[in-house]
Parts: sequence; structure tokens; C-alpha cells
Amino acid sequence: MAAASSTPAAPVRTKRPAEAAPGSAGKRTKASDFELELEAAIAAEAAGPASWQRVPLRAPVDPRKDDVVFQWIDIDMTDGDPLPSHPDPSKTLPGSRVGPVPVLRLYGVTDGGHSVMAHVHGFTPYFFCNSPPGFDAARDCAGFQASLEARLRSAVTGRDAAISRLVMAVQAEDGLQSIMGFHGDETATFLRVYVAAPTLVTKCRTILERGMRLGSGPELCYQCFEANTPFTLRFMIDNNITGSNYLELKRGTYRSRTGAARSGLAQVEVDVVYDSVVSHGIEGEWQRVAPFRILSFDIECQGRRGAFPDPKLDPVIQIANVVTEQGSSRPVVRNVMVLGTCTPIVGANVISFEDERSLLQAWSRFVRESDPDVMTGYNVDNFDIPYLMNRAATLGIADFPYLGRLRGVRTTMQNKTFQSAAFGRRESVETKIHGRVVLDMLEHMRRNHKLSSYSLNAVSAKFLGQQKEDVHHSIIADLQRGTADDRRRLAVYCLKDAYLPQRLIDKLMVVVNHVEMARVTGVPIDFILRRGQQVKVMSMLFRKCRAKDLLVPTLRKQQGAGDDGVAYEGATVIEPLRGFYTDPIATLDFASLYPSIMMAHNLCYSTLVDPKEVASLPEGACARAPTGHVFVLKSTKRGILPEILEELLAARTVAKRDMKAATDPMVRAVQNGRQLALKVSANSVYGFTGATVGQLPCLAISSTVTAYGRDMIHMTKEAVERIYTRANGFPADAVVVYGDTDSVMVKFGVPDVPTSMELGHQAAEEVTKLFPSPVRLEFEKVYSPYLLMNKKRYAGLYWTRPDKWDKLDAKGIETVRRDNCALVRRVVETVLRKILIEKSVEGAIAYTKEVIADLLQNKLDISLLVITKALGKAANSADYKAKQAHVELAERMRKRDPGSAPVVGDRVPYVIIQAPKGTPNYLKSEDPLYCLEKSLSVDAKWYLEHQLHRPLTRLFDPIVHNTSSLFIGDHTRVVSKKTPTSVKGGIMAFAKRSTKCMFKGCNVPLKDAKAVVCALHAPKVGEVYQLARERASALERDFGRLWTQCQRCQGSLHQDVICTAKDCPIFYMRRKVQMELDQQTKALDRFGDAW
Amino acid sequence: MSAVLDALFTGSSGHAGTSDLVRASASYAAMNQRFRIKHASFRQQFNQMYVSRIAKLRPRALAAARKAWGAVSESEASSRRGSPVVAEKIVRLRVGQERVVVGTVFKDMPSRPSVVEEFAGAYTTKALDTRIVVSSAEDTLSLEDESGRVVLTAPAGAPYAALPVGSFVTGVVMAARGVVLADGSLQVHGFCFPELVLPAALPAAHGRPHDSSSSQSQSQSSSSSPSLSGAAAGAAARPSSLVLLVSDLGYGEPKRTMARQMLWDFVAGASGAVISRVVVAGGLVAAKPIELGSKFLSGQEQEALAEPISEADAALSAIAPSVPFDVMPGANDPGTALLPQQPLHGVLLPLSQRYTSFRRGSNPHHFEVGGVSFLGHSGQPLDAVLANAEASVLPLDPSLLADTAAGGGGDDDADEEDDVEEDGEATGSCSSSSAGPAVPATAASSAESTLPPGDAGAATEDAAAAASRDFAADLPDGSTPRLNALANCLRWQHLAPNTPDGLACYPFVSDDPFVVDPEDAPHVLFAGCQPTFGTTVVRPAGSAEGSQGVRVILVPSFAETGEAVLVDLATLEATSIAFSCDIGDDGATAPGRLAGVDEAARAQEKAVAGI
Repeated sequence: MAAASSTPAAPVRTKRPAEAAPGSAGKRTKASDFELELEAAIAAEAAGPASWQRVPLRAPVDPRKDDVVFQWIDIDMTDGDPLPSHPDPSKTLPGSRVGPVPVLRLYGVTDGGHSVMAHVHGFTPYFFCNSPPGFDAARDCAGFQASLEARLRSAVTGRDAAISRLVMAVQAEDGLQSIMGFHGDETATFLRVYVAAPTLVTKCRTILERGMRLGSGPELCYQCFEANTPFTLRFMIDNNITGSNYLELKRGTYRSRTGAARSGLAQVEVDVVYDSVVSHGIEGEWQRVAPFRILSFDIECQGRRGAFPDPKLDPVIQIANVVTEQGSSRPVVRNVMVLGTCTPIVGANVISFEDERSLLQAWSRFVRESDPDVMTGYNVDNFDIPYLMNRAATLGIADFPYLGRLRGVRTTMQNKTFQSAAFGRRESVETKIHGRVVLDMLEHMRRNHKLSSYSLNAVSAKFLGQQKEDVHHSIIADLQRGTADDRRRLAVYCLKDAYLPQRLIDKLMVVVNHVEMARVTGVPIDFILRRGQQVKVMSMLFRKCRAKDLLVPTLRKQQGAGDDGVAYEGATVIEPLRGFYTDPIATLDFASLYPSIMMAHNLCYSTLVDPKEVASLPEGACARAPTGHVFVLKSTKRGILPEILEELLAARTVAKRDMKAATDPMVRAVQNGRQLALKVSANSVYGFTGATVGQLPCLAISSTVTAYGRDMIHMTKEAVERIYTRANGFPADAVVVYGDTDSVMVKFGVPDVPTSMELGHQAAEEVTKLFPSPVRLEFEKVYSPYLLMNKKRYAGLYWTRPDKWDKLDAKGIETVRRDNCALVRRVVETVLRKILIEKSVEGAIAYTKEVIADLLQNKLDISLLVITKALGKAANSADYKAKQAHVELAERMRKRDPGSAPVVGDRVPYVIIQAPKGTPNYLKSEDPLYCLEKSLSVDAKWYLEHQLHRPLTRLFDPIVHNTSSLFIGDHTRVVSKKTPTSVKGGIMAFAKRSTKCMFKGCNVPLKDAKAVVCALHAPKVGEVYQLARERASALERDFGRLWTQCQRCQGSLHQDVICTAKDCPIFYMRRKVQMELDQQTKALDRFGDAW
Repeated sequence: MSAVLDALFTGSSGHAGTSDLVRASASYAAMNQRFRIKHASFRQQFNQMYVSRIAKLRPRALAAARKAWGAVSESEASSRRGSPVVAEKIVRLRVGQERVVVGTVFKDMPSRPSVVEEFAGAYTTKALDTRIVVSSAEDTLSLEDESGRVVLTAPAGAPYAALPVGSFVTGVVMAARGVVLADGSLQVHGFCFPELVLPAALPAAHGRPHDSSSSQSQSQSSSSSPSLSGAAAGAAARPSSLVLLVSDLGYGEPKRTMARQMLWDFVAGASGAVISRVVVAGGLVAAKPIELGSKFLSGQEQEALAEPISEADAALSAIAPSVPFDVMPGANDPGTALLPQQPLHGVLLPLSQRYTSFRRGSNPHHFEVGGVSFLGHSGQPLDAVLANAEASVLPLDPSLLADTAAGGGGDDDADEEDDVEEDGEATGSCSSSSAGPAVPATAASSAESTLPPGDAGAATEDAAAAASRDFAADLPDGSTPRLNALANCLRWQHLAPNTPDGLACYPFVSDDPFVVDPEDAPHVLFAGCQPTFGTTVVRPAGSAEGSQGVRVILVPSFAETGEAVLVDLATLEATSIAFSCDIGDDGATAPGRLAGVDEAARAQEKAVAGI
């Protein structure tokens, strides 16, 4: 514990229990067998509840001797009484002496894993506004304050009304500038208004913007500045505290709280004044990450048949918990709380409860005792946490909703709508758990990875390489009602669901990357999780402006800086010369194009010259952009945004260098997380200026950026095609076949990759000379061969080394979109492979025809044809304007069996089936399982036309003359005749012809219903039998393979497979085999018993 | 030369002149009812079969554990201190306890291809072959009961034979004795299987059962064998009755057409009169000529598909009148795919079908001839075991560790190493897989020879581990991994232990018909369609040399070797007999030619010339 050490900044890491655990199980544990992993943790089992808690402090913190060093992770604020005096006797206490005053709380962890909570006092909220003409600071400040106080007083209600003085002070400050527009050296006086509570800032702003009378003067409207900064961020900015960095409280500058004075549950609780908090920059040793405690949990509810669990009705039956410390791969706690008896699980602590109340109470207590810094799980934000809260409320468990780190402070929920250009609109429930960061892995995956399915099963299969058993909620209830062994089975399942999010966090370095993003952009982790990109740029902008005496205006909504919010022209695309290129295509990219344009041309709010003032500027002080906007040159005045970008990119270069040099994988991960965060942040600056509904839009900047970008792409094309010609002694005339935003694809006309790479390097260097620094064109890779289908749609083999290709790269191609069935993905992937890797266009065509033939003959596995869509809120078809296939299907399924029908939030898998002509598409959707059972045929034509046709046409268009030949011809004709009969008869044609001669093509009706063949074909009966038998045998072998695989996957031989993971590639197949086997067996029964 | 062949040929030549050629007859009963699937349904899963299996075998494994280690139940534990306690459920195991655990073996094979991955891959209409399953050094064993699983580990430094992971397959039921380590695994100090149950003793035999049989195991060409004269003298009477086991006749392919004809001529002829029954252990026809998939076949292709079985039918119908015949379906035959394979359908064999002497058996096939109980299959279960096992399968002798561990008693882990090493020596004289006086070293004694001496320390551990991997190299002739695997199946008391995991089988609901129940205990266990002939006798653990055991036979593929196997119903001696012909056959050269067969071959040549 660092606090116990008397040498500052040299904290001694205590030996963590996790590290002490024997590593003997490492070799044996198999990702595929979760129970084996549990067994590896058996050591944790012996210990009781005591081991839930953090390592105890060796001795209480002594404010006279100990420095408290911790990495903070969460911040919030409250109001309270001011400190009686400054803990540091050499300083005087800032801020108001009468309560209530705002108090900030920082929560964090020391290197030794002890939790710290610091109450930060004395920081007063404030904002700026312009001073009216003729404002005399000495004379008018008091009047301004009094007027504002009076207006404010009439506006405040509730808690704020109790504050004796609302406007604490008004201070006139000289030498400041607004960031908006170039003002030369001309500074102005601004008023800094201190208020008693953060909430008052917005109120003041409204009053001032609408107009306020100063004394007997006229009513004046004021422009407010920096009035929309969250108070916590304001505090961080002013004290150079970045997100989640290390803070140090030196001995003698804080007071320790003990006993009843404590308001929280942290092991160390201190009071400190903001001016005593030492904030460490992210250099050197301060780059490390403290051992944050991460609690990953999952709940199971006992749902009723046919309904999604409702917290008002359905009990919580199990809660599984896994606690891990950041940096250690082994959980320190694994337990599962079970309603009813449960057979023990090796490696996990099984705790049984007789009633649900005590289970919920125990869990609430467990959260407080285990004291996690981060709470995670899969869909915990919108399911697990609200469910627990609502369930506890239904049961009237008063002491449940105290999950935070504050004693006696209830955890509350609120509905939130999250809107972001990048992630769209999403409604969610936000639960404020004081001092803990809730990191929902589902939310994280949605934000950071583009996947076709976000189910935990699909995500773990993709990132952890393990299939997860998926138990339908109706089976969960059955298991719960069963024996102790059944409940154990459920508990193992529940534990796995709690464990997988933790594994994902480890594997994807989620905590480290978030910490780095917080440190780089200077916002709390919570902001990164719950807010968009803008606040990060805001944070960086405010920090920079503070250092430059610039103020950021708080704009009213839609109050653009001289723009009308009109859309501007975006990036350019050089018309693609579509085709299939067997010669290498070199790709030249502008490195960080938009940031470098902003830096090169000094584009910023503060460098934008008012058109009226352009004339007054000296020659050579500014430059006119292609859009007509004028910005001053950096020699005149450096812009803020270019400076921010420069720092970000310089830091990224350092981070990348450090990453390469690092030997410790943990350090490398941190550096990688940082360089990624820096890159994302640099790129988001441009977006910030263009976000018309944003905090500080300035389309003059964003449209100028894109205009420069367009010019540069065209200049590059022109230069390359001018220089690299036969006339200039090169092997061929270079052609730019395509260009988009920040890259151009060049065909140098050389047949080999190494030469192409060499020319690429040369050209990049040559062209870079045309542009101002730091714009740089880089040669990155060669595509060979290259299939250019259209704008933003291309594929090729990707070479970065001359000897071997790296990967098959495909852009804009149907591989992840979810409204495509798996067949499309597979066919597209296979065709690309055949064309690009095998270099066999004929093979690709033959393959495509084969697939189409199989599709039309109904020979494809149904799982390839399944399309899934999420069932939205209120699965009522009236809610949707246009009838949707999956919604209609859900409705039909509910009529068939309310028990198994999908409910809101479920993903509905469906296939399109054959129906009479004219049937609308939304009525042709059907449950794949139902299709199998009823032998309904899929509408092969629909799949061909609506799923395969377009992607295949796109793929083949540049290669073959007439793509329609793919869709007409022998492979389709043969079957179109057959389709009506074979399709009607279902999957097995035999079942249909029960009274006809079974000899192929005979179909003579048989008088004897028990006969198999007609008299003519009697000698062929063995042949007919053998054919039918072969089909059955193939199915039998598949049956064995598929079901034993499931048995293996679920990790138990003696228990039946209950998994219903619809994402699993074999889910439908195994059912299909069952059904077809039953049919085929019946068909064979006609031949009589073999015995 | 074996007594059987000797008697056959020397005897028959003496009788050749007589006109009253009477075929030996023997009583016959088929006992296949448990393999019959009356109303196939595929709505159920496989877990119930594992449940049935462990229900049948647990009491027997426990009985073996009581006998071997004096294992006691939890309730008896207090009264019988020092005896290892049987854990009721695997989930109840606790760290530090010594327990006897009964469960189903699960072998985790990381290199086994996953069906899920196969289907998640590129779209293909062709089914992929999953029979190629690899076992690797990363494989681990667990023991599982209805409640949970526990990983099995061998004590550090123990010889490979202490827990020969590579010799096990998923699905074996056994009792393991060991201590639960802190990491949750069970450190195994001994294992034992359900006791081998012997059938009723044979009816009084004409000749004493010979143990010399295994000397023939490798030697098809035994005309120069020194035992020729001795055996001829020893067997005064010609054998009362023989059963001929043959497999993989391979109709539909020209390979060994002549050899097949010679075989039938031999069976039908005077020399073959002592053969009371012919059993085809799978492989009537050669592998399918056409890749079926889901394609619709043309009329011609359909006919081609049916051709081989018609050819077989014609051939069998010619021989069926003269000798009783049993035909079992095999992997390539047009029968059901899942084990137990149902008898080949009558419509496939319309000609042979007309003879009452022709019987269509199931696979596995259980029958009794002349009071001798035969139980066998067409080879798939053995192939499946070997596909999931290491190349060198050890003859698993559960007593290898059991005896000393029981003597040692307590929980003292420290002595484990020594205990284990001593075990090898202590049990060197124990029953072995291919015992026989003619064979100088038994498998067990070979195991012993690779083990370090009892006082050996850490220095020899590596050597022991290394030696264990090369175990097969030290095995005596006749003890091949394949023979060991089949013998192991008998020790496991299961005909097809890795069904359904490694071999597709019918999902039985309330039974596992492949368990060798005491009432079904066979005198002879055979596996058809094997690459080479092999035989041995398996005896219960600890029983004396020469005492009653079970005859285990690998029936070679006729298409590959031209060999068949003769089993003497009186002595259970098994001998291979090869048929080859210099002309007409393009098969591999037969390993040797027997005098009698040569005669037949010459006769055949004449016959051909005559035409």
C-alpha cells in the first residue's frame, strides 16, 4: 500500500494473492471446457467470504507521514459543508465558507489494490461572459453581481434555494480573447462569474443570454463562455487532471476520515482541498495501470412460458460473480448465489439461499464487500442491473439499492437516450452507481466492433474462439425447478456467462484501452463509455484554450459560427476504372489526411479571418482556401486546433516507438491502447468542427478541410500520371485507377510486386514535395490482383512485403451485414478467394453456378439461408409503419405457441418460403425450425434474386462480359422444371410418393399400398433400396457427428444438450438431420424389416 | 504349423478318397436381439446412452475396485479405516482426499477437428471426412459421472504406463483411485475396469486348449514351423468342427477374384468339410464406386451402385447350399450406417436369401456355434478406437498399479513415485494380453523391462518416460497396437467404447447394447476388416497362465491379404489360412502359401485351363 510508505512516489507493490496462486493448471485448462477452468481455481474455494474483500490495510493512513498515491477511475460531486480550515496550514481555504458548497469526490485505487476516496473541497463553479461596452470593473462588478443574484434568486427552486448567496463573485479579467475568429493581438475584458452550485451555471447563462439589466441601464444580452462544461471536467481541466491518471496527496495536505465521519466504503477516505492535489502526467512510471477490481456478473431469472422475464413477476434465481484484478489473469473471487439447493461446483463458491430476498440482499452486500472499481457483464446496463433494482423494489427490499461506494446513498436509475452520429440513437437505462464504472461489454462490442451478431455466443466464438452453450429462458425455469444437480448445471452456465465478459475484457484489453483514451483526451472513463466523441475534443480544446487565454463560447443550439447549417461538400472520389487488374496496384495514402491539412493550413476557429477584415491584414499574413475562406498563416498566429493535433500526433509517434521498444507485453498493450486513442482523437477533431448540432460547429473549417483534401487527391493523380510515363523513361504510363478521400490507387503498369512497391515508394516521396508540411503521402501497400467493383467496393490481395501477401482485403463487400444470410457471406468469400488467391475466374464461375444450382434444387442447408433481425420494442406490427417480415413472423409464432415465440429484444431468425404468387414478402417469412418440421420449401428464387444476385453481379461485373449468364443457363434450367414437384413434396421426395413405384422416374401408381415398386421394376428393388439406404446412411453419419459435437461443446456426456444457440453454425443442421432421418427411415420402412 | 491346419490337411488327405463326405455340423443360435432397432427414432440424444452405460458398468467397476484395493463406500469408511473410500459423486470431491472415482472417461483432444468449424468455413456441398481424428500429446483424460467431471493426472515422474492417455478413448467406464490435488485434478494412483466375466467353460474338448495359438499370430507361412510334427502328433483326432471367419471379400472389384474362388472351392471341397460355418465379418463389397453425396444419380450410375452387391449375391448363393453362412454388414456394405448395423436387407441378396443356411447377421453379431459363444463386429469400433488413440496402444492392465497401491494404503503422496515404479515389477507376472509359452516375452513383462528398477531415482525418470513412448517397439511379436486395442475393449467390457463420440451409433434410450454383459460373455471376440491377422487370449486380472480366457481375433481383410481365419470349436485355436493365385489376381502377393492351399490353387488353375 502506497499510503503506508513514507517515501513518496515509490510505492511498494504488495504481493497480490492472485499472483501467489499456483500456476499449475495452465497447461491443462482448455478454453473449450469451462468446468476445467473452474477447477483450476479450486484454491479460491476454500476461503470464505473474507476473501471477497480487498487486501486489508496494514495500518490506517497517517496524514502526517503517508503520501496517498492512487489512480482514480471515477469522479462525481455532491454538496456539503465547507471544511473548517485548510488541511495544509500554510494555505488558506478557498471558496465559500458557508454551506452548502460543491464537493468533488474522486475514487481510485493504489498500486497495492487499496481503494481510495478523496473529497475535494474548495473548487467553485464559474463561467465567463463578455463585458458590456463601457463596463468598469471597479464600479460595475458589484452591480452585475447583485443584478444576477436577484434574477437568479427568483429562478432557483429546491435545494439551491437554501443557498444563502448564489453568485459568489464577479471578476473582470483582461487579456482574454474568444476563440472564434482571428483578432490579432486585440484582447478584451471578460467577466468571470463564480456561483455557489454547478447547476446555477446553466441558469445564469439562460438569464444572461436572454438579457439582463445592469442597474438602471438598458437590458443587455450577454454571450457566455465555457458555461457548458460539466463541473467535474471543469475541475479536471483547471487542475491538469487527465482522465484516470495518478494523483498524489502529499502528507500534511489532507485529512483522513475515520469512524463515523466516513461517508464511503473505501479503505482510505480523505478530505483535501483542490489546490493540494498533485496530478501526475502520463510519463514515466505514471503510465502504469493500477490493479482495478473488476466484477463481472450475470443473473438468471425464472421466466414464465412465452414471456420475457418481468421483474414484477419473475424471481431472480441465480447470480454468478467473477472478480478479477486488472493485470492478473486469474479471478480472485468466483461464486454463484443460487436460490434453492445446488450441488457444489469445483473452483467456485456456491452459496445457496432459501428465499429470493436473502439472495438479493446477499448480492448487494457482496458488491459492497468486494468493492469493485469496474462492474461489467453482458447487457448489464439494460438488463441485469435494472432487473435487480426493479426486482428488489417489487419485493420491497429496502437495503438493496446501495451498490455504490457511498454509505447510505441509494443507487438510482434513469432512462437515457444516447444519440451519436457514429452509433445512432439508442435508448438505455443508466444506473448511477457511485464510485464504480459500469462497463457493459455488449455496449462496448456494439461501439467498437462491426459484427453480424452481438450475442455473447457469437462474440465469444469470434474473439475467444469458443462456442458457448446457449440456454433458452424457458429451459432455465425447468432447470431451476429440478434437482440440485439441475441447478448446478444452470449455475455452471451462469458462471460461464459471468466469466466470458471478463475474458473479453482481458483479450481485448478493454480496461487498458479505456484508461488510455481517458488519459489522452482528459475526460473520465465514464464519459468515454456514455458520451460521444465531442466531449473528448471539447476537453482537449478547453485545456489548450486555458493555456492560451482563449475562451470558448457556449453556443446556443444551432447557433453556427456564421454558417446556416448547410451541408458542405465532402471528400472526393476519383471515378473508378472498374475492372479486374492482374498487374499490381500500388496504394498511396495521405497519412492522417484531415489532421495534417488542418496543421498545414493552420485551420482553426482562432485563425478564421472575418471576410470584412481580410483587406486590413498585411500581405502574406493569411491565405485564401479553395472554399474562399481566409485563415491566417501559422507565421501570423498558430491555431489551437493545429496545435492540439500536432501534440496528439507527436504523442502517437512516441507511443508507437515505445510500443515497438517495449518488451513487457503489458507495457506494449498500454502503448498500443494509447496510440490508438491518439489516432482516434486526432481524427475526431475534424468531425467536431463539422458537427452542426454539436458544441462548437464551424463549417468554414470543415468545408475547407475537405476542399483541400479534394484538391490534393486530384493533384496527386495528375502528378503521378504526369511523372510516371514511358516518355520519362518508366516501363509504362501510370494510371490512377481509383482514389478515395485520402488514397489513390496507381497502376504503374509493371507486372511484378517488388517493382511496383519501389515505384510506389518513389512516387509517394515525389508527390509529398508538392504539399506543405506536415502533409505526407505514404506508400502503404500493393494490391495484386485487384478487383475494383465500384466506389468504395474493391478487393485484392494485400502486400506489404515483396515476397508474400499478407491477407485478402475486401472493402464494402457483403460480409458483415446482418440482413444477408450466411450463404451470401460464404459465396462472396469463396468467390473472392477463388478469383484472387487461386486466380481462377473459371473456378469462381463454376462454383457460383454450382451454388445456384444447389440453391434452386433445395439442396442447401437451411442454416445458410437464415436471416436474423432484432424484434424491436412492443412487438406489435401496428408500431411499424411498413410491415416487416420478422415482426409478422413473431406475431404468427405467438399464435402458434406463445411459449417459444420470440419476445421483444430477441433476434428473430427467419427464412423466406415459397408462397402463392403475389404474396407480400412479409408474409413469406417463416421460422426455420418450423420449416424443417413442416417440410416447407424456401423460396429459392427469392434468395437468388434478393440475396445473391446483387453481390454476385457486383463481383463479376468487372470480370465477365455478361453477368446475367451466371443466372440463366443449364444450371438453372434443369431444375426449374423439377422445382414444382420436388419442392412441394418437401425435402425428401420419397415421402410424397407413398403409393407410387419408387423406381426413379417411374411413378406408376401401385395398387398394393405396401408394395415398393411396380411389376416392371421388381428386379430393381434392390437398387431402389440401396439408393434410399445410401441417403439415410449419409444422414445417419451427420446425425452422429453433429450431436456428439454438441455433447462435447457443452462439456458433459451424461447430460442432454439443451443449447439453443441459433448463431451456432450447426444449430439448424442438427435439427434438420433429425427430421430428415425420421422421414427417410419411414420411407425405408416400406421395404419391410431387415430382420 | 498349427494343430488345426495340420489336422485339416493331413487328416483330409486321408479321407479324400472316401465318398461319404459329411459336413461337420454344429448347433447354432443367433443372439442378436439386443442389437435390433425396431422403430428407429432420432428425436433423442446421446446422453442417455452414456447414462445406461455407466449404470451397467459402475457396479462392476466398483466390484473390481473392492477386489483390487478393498475400496469401501462412504458409509463403511468409519468402520474400515485405511481403505480407500468410493466417492459417491465426482462433484463431491475435495482437495486432499484420497478417493476411488467411478466414471466415464472423457478424452479431450485439442487437435480433433471441430464439426462446428467445419461448417462455419467456406460453403461446400461435399461432406468432409471426420474419420481422420488425431490424437496428440496434448490430450488429457477426465472422468465424468452424472454430476461432473474431474481431470486425471499421473503422479510426477510416473511411467507413461501409469496413465497411458494415448491408449484410452472417450466412453470407457472405469474406477480410478487417486488424490484430489489443489488444482482440482485427480492424481491417479491406479485404475481398474469392470471385471472380465468368462463364459461357461467349453464342453469337454477333444484336445486340450492350446496356448500355443499366439505363436501363429504373425506367421501365416508356417509350413516350416517346428511345431508341425509335434502338433500333428498331439492332435490325434481331427478337429470336430471349425468356424471360418473371413472379412472384406471386396466384391465389385476384380482384385483377388481368383483367391475368392479358391476360398469357396476350399470351403465347399473335401478339405473344408470340417468347416461347420462361414462367417463374413463385414465387407461383402468393396468401397462404393460412386461418390454419392446428395447428387441425383443417372440410371446407369444407379445400376453401377447396385452391381457389387449383386455380384456378391450370386457368388454367395453358389456356396450357401453347401455350408451354413452368416453375413454381417460392414463399413462399405449397403446397410445402415449407425452401429449396431442392422442385417443387410433381404432385397439386396435375393438369390442367397432363398437358402435357409444363409443368415443375415447384424454388426455386432453375437451367435453360438456348437456351444461356443462368438461376439464380433466388422471392425469399425476398433478403427474408431485407434483413430482416437496413440500409435502405440498399450495392453492396459489395470492391475499394473492397483496391487501395490492397495498395499500402500494411505494418502502419502511422497512415496507415489516409488510405488508406481514398484508396481511395474510387482505385477510383472500378472495376466497379460498375449500370453503364450511360445512367446518369449509377454506384453506385461515387456512393460516391466522398460521400467526403471524399484530403487531408481529421478535420474531414470526421463528414460522411463522416453521408453514409454516407444512401448510398442518393445512389445513381443504378436502384440500389436491393434490387437492390444481389441483386447482393451474386452477389458473395458465394451464392444465399441467410443460410440457415440468417435463412432456414429444409434441413440439408444434405455440401453447400451455394446456393453459386454456377464450373460453375454463370449468365448471368442473378433473384429473383421483388419489389416493383418492377429490373435491372443485375454484372461481376468491375476489369473494363472493357461487358465480359461477369451480368445481375441483380428480377422484380416481378405481383399488385402487373401487370408481367412479358422477357429477350432474344441480348442478355440485360431489359425490364418491364405489363398493366393499366381494368375488372374492383381492383389498384393500373399505372404505365404500353404501346401494344402497350393493344391487347391493348382486345381483351380487346371479348372481354368479346362475352360
